[in-house]
This record gives sequence, structure tokens and C-alpha cells, in this order.
Amino acid sequence: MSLLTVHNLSTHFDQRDGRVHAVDGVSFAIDPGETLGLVGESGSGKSVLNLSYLRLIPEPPGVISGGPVLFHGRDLLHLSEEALREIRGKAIAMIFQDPMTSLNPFLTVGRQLTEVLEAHTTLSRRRALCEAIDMLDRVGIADGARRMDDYPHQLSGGMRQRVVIAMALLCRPQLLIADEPTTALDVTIQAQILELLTSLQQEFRMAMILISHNLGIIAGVCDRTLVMYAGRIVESASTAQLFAQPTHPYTRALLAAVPRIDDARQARLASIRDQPPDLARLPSGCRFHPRCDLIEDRCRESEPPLIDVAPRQCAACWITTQQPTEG
Amino acid sequence: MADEALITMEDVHVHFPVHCGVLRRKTLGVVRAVDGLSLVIHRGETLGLVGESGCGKSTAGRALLQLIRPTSGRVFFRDTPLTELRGEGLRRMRRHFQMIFQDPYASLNPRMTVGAIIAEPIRLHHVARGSAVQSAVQSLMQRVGLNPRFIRRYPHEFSGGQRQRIGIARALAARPEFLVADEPTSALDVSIQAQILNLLVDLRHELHLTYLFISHDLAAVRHMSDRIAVMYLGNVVELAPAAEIYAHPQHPYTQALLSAIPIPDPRAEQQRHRTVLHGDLPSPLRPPSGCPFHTRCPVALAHCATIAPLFKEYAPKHSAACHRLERSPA
Amino acid sequence: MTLSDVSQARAHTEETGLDLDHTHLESGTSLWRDAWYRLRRNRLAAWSFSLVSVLALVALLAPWIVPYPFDAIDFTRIGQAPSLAHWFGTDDLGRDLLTRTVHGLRISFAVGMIATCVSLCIGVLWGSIAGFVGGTLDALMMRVVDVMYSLPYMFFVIILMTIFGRNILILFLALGAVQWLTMARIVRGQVLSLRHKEFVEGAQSVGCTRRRIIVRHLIPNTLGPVIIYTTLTIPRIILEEAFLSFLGLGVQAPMASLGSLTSDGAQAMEIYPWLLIAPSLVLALLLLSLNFLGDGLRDALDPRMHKG
Repeated sequence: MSLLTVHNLSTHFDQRDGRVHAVDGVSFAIDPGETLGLVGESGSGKSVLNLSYLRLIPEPPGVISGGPVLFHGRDLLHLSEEALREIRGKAIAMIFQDPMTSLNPFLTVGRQLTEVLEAHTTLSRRRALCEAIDMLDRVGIADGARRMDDYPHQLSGGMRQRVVIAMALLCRPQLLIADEPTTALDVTIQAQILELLTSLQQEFRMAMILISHNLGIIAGVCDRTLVMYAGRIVESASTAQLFAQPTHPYTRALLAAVPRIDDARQARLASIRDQPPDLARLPSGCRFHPRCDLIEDRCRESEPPLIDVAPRQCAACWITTQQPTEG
Repeated sequence: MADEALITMEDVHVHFPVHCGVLRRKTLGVVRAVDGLSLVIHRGETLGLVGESGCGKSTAGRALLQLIRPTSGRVFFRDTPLTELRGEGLRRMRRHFQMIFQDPYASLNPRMTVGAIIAEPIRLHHVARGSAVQSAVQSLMQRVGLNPRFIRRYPHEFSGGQRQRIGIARALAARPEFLVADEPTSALDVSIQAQILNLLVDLRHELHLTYLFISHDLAAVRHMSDRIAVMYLGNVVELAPAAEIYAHPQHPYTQALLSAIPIPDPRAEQQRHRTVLHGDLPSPLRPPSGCPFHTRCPVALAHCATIAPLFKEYAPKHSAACHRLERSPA
Repeated sequence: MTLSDVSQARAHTEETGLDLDHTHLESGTSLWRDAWYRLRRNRLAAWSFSLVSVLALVALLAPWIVPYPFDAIDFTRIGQAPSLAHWFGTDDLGRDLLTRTVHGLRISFAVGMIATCVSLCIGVLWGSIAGFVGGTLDALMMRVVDVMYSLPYMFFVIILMTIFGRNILILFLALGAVQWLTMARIVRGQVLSLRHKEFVEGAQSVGCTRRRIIVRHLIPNTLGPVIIYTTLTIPRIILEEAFLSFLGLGVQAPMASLGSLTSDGAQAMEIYPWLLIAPSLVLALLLLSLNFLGDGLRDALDPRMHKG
């Protein structure tokens, strides 16, 4: 039984010069304890997707349609604002790229942590304080009791992200959504944070959606991966399968475009030509066709559906998905 | 490759004083952004400069180009001491070395057309005159993959990748021999990064350019560079040919840095041994005594905290600064 | 973060695809033209712009379009209500109020414009030198501004007016001389933030001279906020002149500004109400439209405030 099931979710923004389709008919599910990776470039809709079903998109200009989005059998899109607030931050927690978006610069770390507990639990002030210090210890801040009186600006970037993670985990969420949690950090700090996230995930047995543009992070952390392009899922597979046998031309191209430290040096990288499409003026048919090398007429005419190509792997491409059924 | 030195940096220091007080009289301390850096860049090579944020790699690049005047030390372009030039003399020398900036949104004047931006160095250094300027601009635009028809457009009408191409065209306009590329792809999307890296590689071969490629992305640096210098707290801790440094990293910081980079391959990821560094980068306002890395080093010795290790060649063309290497040469 | 994600994707409209026909050059839209377009689309600002233009034209052509000389006293027509011959009526000396209002408008406009020019010149110069040179000089110059700020400047103007007499030129200078402080701060802030922008570094790295960096790269980028602040300064100065006139320290009779006319009108309000209504209505209309225009310019010129 899935923890969260998103069914045919769409989000668009009405702007002066047209309708921007940020997310367009996306369906996926995540099981308890699973780590789901969400890869895509800026504008692929990977961040908007998660904000949409948590109804954190300002409406207007945003319009969310489709659904249902079931979390424990309740449709998030039709819950009251109050019931939704109870889920957000308690059962589903989020962390963002910039830790300062979740931290109040005018409050001490301790105050912010205990505030979360006071809002969502009935713990006494003293218990909340102990709980907060304990949580700081678990996210690798050893001198938590001393750090409680610090203000966010007194901490380094890595430390701030640890505090944000501690804040997110205080209420023992069942699902953690991490939106580019390490993009703003240095590689050595990134490694620390990723290791922390995976170990905490096992400790708390929570599911995690990890949003990233970095394929290396996805490869190291996630069980299953969704690839998004221009508001749609173009490929979904177990991470091992996705990297071993990428099916969609976009996935293949993305993998080839990234320089790797373990490869022999090539003269040129296989790049993808042009720019991602304008979401207000999407190309006809397959959204990737103007940048794809394998196009046929029907790629321009109609949009390919997500088709199973192997167990637990599906892709949305007219050309590459044919091969397993024919051969 | 004949190892002819194009750029020589000798014991360059860049210190930023930190002031306080109403009329800025008190000096609180000095940030040693670059602290005794010596580096030689050979003609025709690409030297990669890697390090984490705050290690001074961008400041080093700017000090090299005299965009920030070094506090002490000397920088030579061939035999010309740039650190001793000023005013008009330095301005004239600038056509030989140019810079590609990190942020394609901030590095172009929003009030100038693309044509005017690219034409500026052409006019300043008299590369072309009169009507030849426009055709020079258009051929540059075409060379970097921009439609020459857009010569009258403004930077805000282009995407990030295209703006970076405009920045590259401006850097090439005065026909320089040497380019400093400061994180040229870190603000761009994955699919666009590859386009820009490929463009830089192609231009290098076509125009026989020499690059200093500054980045925090070790994979991109490896892809681009012949030799790589790893910086930590204002100085180079290891310098070696690219393949060598990835195959046999000597300095514990380089080892940790390499093992921290995620590889886009789940099988490779599972088999790796990872050295996770503890703690954060120390403040450059109060750098640690002895070896600057000893506070985070997993293999630090007792005297690392007191005596700074020398930067020495331990294998052919492979230098590092670490006490461990003194004992058991690699 | 999400909306910027979307707008970033919107920026990716162009294609790098080359076609080799570059005989046809596509012209771009400069930020100025973009701003002008946005200003015209802002209905309130566009109307304000037309109204200000009309009023400015009237003020400029005042001596040629008014039906009577502004100081022609006619004792046969004292205190007449608005009529076909005198659209706004006449005052207690029988002078045509329309004529006097138009002349008052001219004076008010002149005070606003000249005083703003004074504040613009001093402020831009002071601010850009402080910002560009920096260091101790910057600190000293800005402390001077701070000290001037703390003076009760209306008091200061009143003292100036009483020392030098009620000379209209002194009025212009005095009002302008106290308004440049904010301008200096704005310009200094702009220059400081621009000085560390990568494009200034870029200009330096391609070999621009210092002068060229200031003229071509820094000044064009500070103009936006300066224009906005200037349009908002004009109405403030007009209002201050009106206030001084109301106190009897403004322009001297028989000349009149909108402020002195309103002041005179207020005294005769119970007998000749039109004497108050006409000039104060024109004054209010002028101030409102200048303020709306300033706001519109701010929205049009400042892309960060502007959302799609």
C-alpha cells in the first residue's frame, strides 16, 4: 500500500502572455520507507509538483487541477486548510535548498525548534527543550545545548541545513521532501548532509522524495527515480535500472552530458542542443522532439504516453519504447 | 608541449582588512583570501583550480588579472610584471588576458546591446575600426553559437546559457591569449553546461588559448584541465597532471574532496570508499596554525598543528604540502 | 522559488539554432523602451502623464493663452462668480482668477522644476563621488548629510527667507538645497551596489578607463531610481512652496503661486468660495498626477517590483 499516490496532477500559472504549464498530468506513488528521486532541470516542474499537492502554490496565479492526491487514503487536494496544515510539517516535512527560507533570522535555534513541537504536540516546555537538544545531537550537532541559544546567522551553511533537518524531523514525519537540500553547499559538506539524510531516513523509517538536478546524488541515494522534462514525467525506473539502461532519449542525453570523475577524459561531452522549451509555448507532440536526435513524424504529431518497458520501468517515447516489444 | 611559462605568480598575497567604527579607523583583522600563492601556467595548457567556497580561488583569478591588486607578490605575463604596471600601461596589456564570469545575469551591463558589449573591447584595443567592428562582432557571435541577427538585442532577452555565450564572445573580442574562466557553468542547467564546456574546449583548440579554469566542480575541472591545482584556505595544497591527481591523490584534502563527489552511477557509488570530512572550513580571518588543514584532517599528526608543511614535488610533476608525505614518499 | 523557476523557464524562449541570414537585424527592446511600454500600460500613470503634460504646456504658454494680464485690477468686477467672461470668477481686486491660476501654476511648476534640478545636481554629484571614491571621504561626506538631515529644514528655509528677503530665486535654491540629501543617499547606494557588480568588473577586465566605466556603465544604471525620485521630488517641493506661501513666506504679490492663491482663497472662503476651490483643485490635481506618475515610473523602471 502506497504512502502517497499522486494521480494526474496539473498546475498552471496564468500570466500576461499566456498559460504556463508548470506541471502537466503527473502521476506517481511512493511507498513507506522508500527514497524517490526526482531529476530535472530548472523549469521542469520538479519543485512546483511537490508544492502543488501540499497546496503551497499561491492561487492565483497558480491553478491546480486533476487529482486525487491520496495520503493515507485522504485526498490532500480537498482537505480543509486546517487539516492540511496538520499534515504539513507533521506527517509530511519539507527542506529546501536555502536553509534560510525555513529559518527565522530573528529567533534562536532553540526557540524555532521548540516552536515546532509546541505547534504540533502537547509536550511541556521542558520536554520540548530536551527533545530539541536530542534531535540536534542526532543531526550531528554535538554541542546542541550550547547551539540552542545561537541565531541562524552564527551558524555555517552546513550547520544551518542540519538545523533545518532537525526541525523537519522533530515530529517524526512519514514523508520528507528534500528539495535540492545540498545545492548551496560545498562538496565535502554535501557528502556530510547526504550521509546524514540517508542514515536518519533508516533510523526513522520514513519515505523521502529527493529533488535534485545532480544525477550523482540521485544515483547514490535513491531507490527509484523519476525524470521530469517540461512539466511531465518522461521516465520512471529503479535507480539501478535507470542508470544501467536509460530508455528515454532525454535521460540518455542527460547522463551523457555530465562530466564524470571516474571516466577517461573525452574530448567533448555529448550535449543536448538548444534550450528547454518555453512552458507557455510548448512544442506539439513530444515536448522533447525539438532537441531529440531520434525523431519521426509522430513525435511531432502526438504526445507519447508512459509505457512499461521493463518491470518497474516506464518511459514516454514513441521510438525507444517500441524496441522491447518488437525484439 | 613546450613548457613555456605564460603566467607566473610569485608568492601572491591578497589580504582584505576588516574595518569597524564610524570613520573606519579600527582594523578588526585581516582576511587572508590568498596567502602566498605561487603558480606557473604554461602556454597552451588548461590549469584547473579547484576548491570549496571561501578557499580563495576566485580571488586568486582576479589577483592574477589585476582586477584586485595583490597585497604583495608578483604576477608576470610572459616577462612583463603586471603587478608593477598601472594606469594606461596595464590597460593596454589587458587585451592579452580576459575573464569569463560566473554569473551570466550580473556580468553583462543591462543597458547595453549585445553588439555594444562585444564591440567594447574591439574598439578599446583598436582590433577593428569603422564598419569592420560590426562584422567582427557578428562573426564572434556566430563563433560562440549566437545568432548574429540578435546583435541589437539586450542581455535580458537571452537565456542563461546564451548570456554566457555573450560573455565568452566579449572575452574573445580583443583576441587574448589567456582566459580566466571563473565557474563559467555553475549557474547553468546540466544540459546547457555541457554546451558551454564543449564551446570552451573547441575555442581553445581553434584559437590556441591558455585557460585558468576555476571551479568547485571537480568533474568539470577534470574534463577541462591538463593540470589541476587544489586550493585550501588561500593556498595550493596539491598540484599534478589531471589524470595523476585523480588516480593518485596525495594530500588528504584532495582525497576527501574526490571521494565526496557523487558519481552518476549507482553501482560505482555502492563500491566506493568515502572519506567524510568532519567540521566546516575554518574562517580565513583566523586560519589555523601549522598546516591549515589539520583541524579537519583525518590523518593529522601531532606536529601538523604547529609546523606548516612545505609544498614540494614528491613525484614527477606532482607536488603537495603534507607532513605525511615527508615520512613515506609516494 | 517556484515562481522564479517558472519565470526562468520563460526566459528560455530563444533558440541557439543558427540561420545564416544576418542581413535582417532584429532590434531588441532596451530596458528603457520596456519601461516606457509598461508605463503606457499602467492606465493611471498614463492618464497622469497626459495630465501633467497638458498642465506643463499650459504653464509654459501662460502669458500667451490667458485672456487678461495677471495683475490687471478691475474695480468694476470685484468678486464675481464664475461666468463666461471669467471662467473661474474674479477676486476681491477684480483680477481674473483663471489668469491668476494659470500664472500660479507656472510659478509652482518653475519652483518644482528648478528646485528639483538643484537637488538633482548636488545630490547626484555628492552621492556618486562618495560612493565611487569610498573610504574616509565617503564616511565624511555622508556624515555631513546625516547632520543636515537632523536640522529642522523648514525652519532652515524660513530663516533663509527672512535673512535674504522674499526673493523667488532664493526660494528655489533654498528648497532645492534641502532636498538633495535623500538624492545623495540614493545615488551613493546605487553606485556602491553597482561598483561590485560583475559587469563593472567585466568592463574593467576588457580594459575600460575609469571615466568610461563611470559614464557608460555606472551612470546609465543609476538613472532608474534617480528618475523615480526626481518625479516624486517635484510634487513635494510644490507642496512645500505652497506651505511657505500659506505662511506668507512664499512668492510676493502681485505674483502668485498655487499655494499663495489657495492661501488668499482660504481667507476669503466665506464670501467668495470659488477663490479657494479653483486653485486648490488645480493644485490637488497636479500633485496627485505627479505622484501617480512617480509611482507608475517606479513600477515601470524597477523590474524587481514588477511581476508578470
